[in-house]
Amino acid sequence: MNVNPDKSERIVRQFGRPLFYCFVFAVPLLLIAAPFASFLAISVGEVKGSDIVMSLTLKNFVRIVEDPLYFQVVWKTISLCLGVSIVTTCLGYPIAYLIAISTHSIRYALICIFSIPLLMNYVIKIYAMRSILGGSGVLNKFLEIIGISGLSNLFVFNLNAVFLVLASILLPFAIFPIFIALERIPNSLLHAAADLGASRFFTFTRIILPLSMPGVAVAFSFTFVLAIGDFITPQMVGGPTGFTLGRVIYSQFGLAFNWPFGAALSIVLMTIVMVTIALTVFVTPRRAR
Amino acid sequence: MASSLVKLRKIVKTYGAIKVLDGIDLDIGNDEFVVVLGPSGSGKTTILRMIGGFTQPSSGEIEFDGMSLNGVPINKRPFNTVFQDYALFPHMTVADNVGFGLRVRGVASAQITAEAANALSLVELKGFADRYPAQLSGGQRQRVALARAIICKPRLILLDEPLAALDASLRRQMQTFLKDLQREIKTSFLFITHDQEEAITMADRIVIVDRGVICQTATPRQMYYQPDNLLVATFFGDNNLIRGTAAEVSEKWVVVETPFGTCRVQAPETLWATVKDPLCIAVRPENVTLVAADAAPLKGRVVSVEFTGPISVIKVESHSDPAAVLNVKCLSAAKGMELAIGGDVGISWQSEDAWPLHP
Amino acid sequence: MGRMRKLLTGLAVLAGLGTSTGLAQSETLRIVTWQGYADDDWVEEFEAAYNADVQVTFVGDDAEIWAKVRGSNGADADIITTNTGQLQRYIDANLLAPIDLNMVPNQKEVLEQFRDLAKIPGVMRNGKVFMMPYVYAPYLLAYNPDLVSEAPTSWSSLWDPKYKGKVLTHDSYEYNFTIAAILDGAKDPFQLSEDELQRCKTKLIDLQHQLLSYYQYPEEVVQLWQSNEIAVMMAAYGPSQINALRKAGAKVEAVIPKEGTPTWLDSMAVTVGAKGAKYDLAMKWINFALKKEISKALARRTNFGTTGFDTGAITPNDKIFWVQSIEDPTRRSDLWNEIKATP
Repeated sequence: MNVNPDKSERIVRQFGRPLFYCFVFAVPLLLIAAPFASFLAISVGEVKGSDIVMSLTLKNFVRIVEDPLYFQVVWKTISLCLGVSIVTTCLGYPIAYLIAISTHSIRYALICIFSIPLLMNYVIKIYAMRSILGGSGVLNKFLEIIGISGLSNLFVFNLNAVFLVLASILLPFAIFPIFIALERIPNSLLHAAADLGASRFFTFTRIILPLSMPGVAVAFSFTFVLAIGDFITPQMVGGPTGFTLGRVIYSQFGLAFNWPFGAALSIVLMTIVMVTIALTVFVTPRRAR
Repeated sequence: MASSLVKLRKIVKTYGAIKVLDGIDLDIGNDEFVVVLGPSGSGKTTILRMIGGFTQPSSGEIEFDGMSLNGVPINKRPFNTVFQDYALFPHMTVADNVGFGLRVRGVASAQITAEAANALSLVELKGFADRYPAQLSGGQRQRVALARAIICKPRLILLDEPLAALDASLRRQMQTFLKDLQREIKTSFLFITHDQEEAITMADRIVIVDRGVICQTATPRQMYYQPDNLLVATFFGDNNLIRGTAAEVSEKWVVVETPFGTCRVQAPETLWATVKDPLCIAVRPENVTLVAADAAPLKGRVVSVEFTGPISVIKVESHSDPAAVLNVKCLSAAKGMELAIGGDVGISWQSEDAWPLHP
Repeated sequence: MGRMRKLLTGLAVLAGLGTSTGLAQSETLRIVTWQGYADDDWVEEFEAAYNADVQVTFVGDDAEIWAKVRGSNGADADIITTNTGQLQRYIDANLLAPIDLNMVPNQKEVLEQFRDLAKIPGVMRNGKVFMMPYVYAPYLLAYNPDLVSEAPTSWSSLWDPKYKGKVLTHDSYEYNFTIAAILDGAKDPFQLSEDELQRCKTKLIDLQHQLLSYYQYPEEVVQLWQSNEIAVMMAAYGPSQINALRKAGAKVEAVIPKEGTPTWLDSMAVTVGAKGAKYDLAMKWINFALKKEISKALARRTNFGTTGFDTGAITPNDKIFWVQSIEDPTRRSDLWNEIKATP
């Protein structure tokens, strides 16, 4: 084939770049959009025998709204995850602050320590937590030893245990966005505040805290999204009372084979997640973004 | 200096093996506009940062009103700073930025609003109170930073190359503006810059810093006509440095033999020349006049005449040493002399305009 | 509808769930089964003996087998192995080929109680044999002898208030209902009326208050047993689970309760995709798998019972309910969720 090199080069330049961008954006879009579309489609279907039939029905959604069971589980899950997000964000902030104000070697050591959990397998983490939490685990033995009778079994296979495990597993996801937000605040702003007479506390409340709010918002939504989508932790440490939305969804797949209802529940979950993210973006101070 | 507000004594700052400042002595007077001038890396910003409290000296003393400032934290120093990048708080309105210093001091908010409005009108930013820094131009941000610094009525305002980011015309505007503002609010300014013209225009006193030491501290006029050394002599604008040898030295005068002939110049106290010492005479080109050759003790040959508009630049070469060239600037409109290239010409200046230096 | 199915299958393939069986040669016998049912040494022995090529795919759950067989109309697997209850829907969907007993002489050598296939519910339909019983395990009632005053003999000990907070059960809607129904005296614990289901639900809510936790995987149980006090447990994985616990050092005994217990029976079935020579080869594999030596080895390695070798897991006195397909999986799953959502 005889191709004029100038021409082919021009063609590459003219179409290559758009093609490249198409590829770069299309692949993730496809990987996100296709499953999402299929979920939407399945959620308006129903099970007939052992097949999923596309019947364009809203009965799956109606059932979620009308059946008090699902409403109750959704509400319980939301409040659990809000609690987890609040606790991890509140705990993560001082840790992130400590990392941000540390000098080089200490800073790297702290970053390493707090990212180790991220490198561990999720299931291993939960198993490890489970042996700490069990009836004869370290935590319960400690609670028994300090002898406050009401405290024993406080964290043994119940919602408290789910809360504790989620909070500790998700802590790094709260620390790092806040740390990055703190890092982004120019030193000169802190100098300027001090220069104008502000104490450390005043500088913190008026400058550092508002300017790190975007990080706090990310930390909050991150932990919330990860907590609400989790079905392994409630399954593993929730015992008979740690029944959450993630577990309901999980139960619809597999042998129950009620994919349409599971898909509808997933869409509810996704909506909760998106509303939460939108709310956090909305309440974050505009200028600090 | 009748009363100095801030005194720096033997300030040394080292970072590891690098000595950034090496024995700085500096006095800043009341209501004085002091400009610290130096190339980048000279240590000039470090001086400002030490006064502001952002860096601690390795040794030496900083005093304010007779009290040591060593160890006094930033927020307890009665100075305010205008940062190079302005350091405006992005999440606050212009009014809140300006009022920050007062809010820190617990001033009632009605009063803060009033004083912020006042400060903003001083920097000619009326009506910008509710904007955010991101909505302002560079010059406007600059003035917000200024308003924020003056609102607490500090005894000294530290300005760290505040005009560096502005374009040339805006910069000239701001220079005049800053100078006027300083007179109006009667506060000392310590202004850091690397721009000689800026220093000359604004300063009551210029401090030239190079490689961590002060080269000279003087008024702009002294700096320009009576430099302490060759470096300062060539720092501001064109200068003629005529090399020669001391022929005769008295308390008040020194006679110098130059390639253009022998001349007598006044000797400043700082000169410690003896006979046969090499000496330099600094004369500004605009202070040299050309006269008829036969009458003058100093002579040369015209090499070129360059017309640059209102001013003409004439190069005059020595008869004995072609390497010695003198630049002369005179009004193009001046009459009475016809200069021929290659022709002889006499050289003359007012005796106070020539300034002897150690080469 | 067909499009929907294609879309789902397509997505499953996209997600990497699809395995590469599509490219296999037609001479290859493709076996879809569970880990432990077709070990490498047996496969090699079979390949050598019949000069055949065998490809084994291990699955994680029943949905996987169903998706594979249903999605390809049997073309993607020749032999599948799962419990008799599960296999019913494959017969309903005409996905299974009947087994020609003449080609499986070893069937006559299996244990007495498995010899008459007509007596095992679900194996035959319309006079034809659709599956070959192979591996089985009963649900057991496990207990820690140190924590119980006397050895339990009934499922009711799961509900015994003495053991409150020291009880484990498997997180599965099918068998908790079945066991509750057996205890309730239901005629057919796999085909429950709505009334019976509601009675079971009440019982299972009570059971939930007894529980320390539900468990999902056998490995979990070992850890649960180690870091907690477990008195009684419903052991869904049967003898192999008990064995794993003992290996880990736990003190554990297990019984088949007097009311009887559901027992799953995994059977081999041939899909309609295996035709001609492939069908013959499939028959040879089934015959091979029923050999005494293989049955014995499988039982030894997995601790499951096999139809060809008596492990003593079940004695003739034990009451057994062979696992059947249940009346309505969705109904049981919904009820199970309601139970779990009850505080």
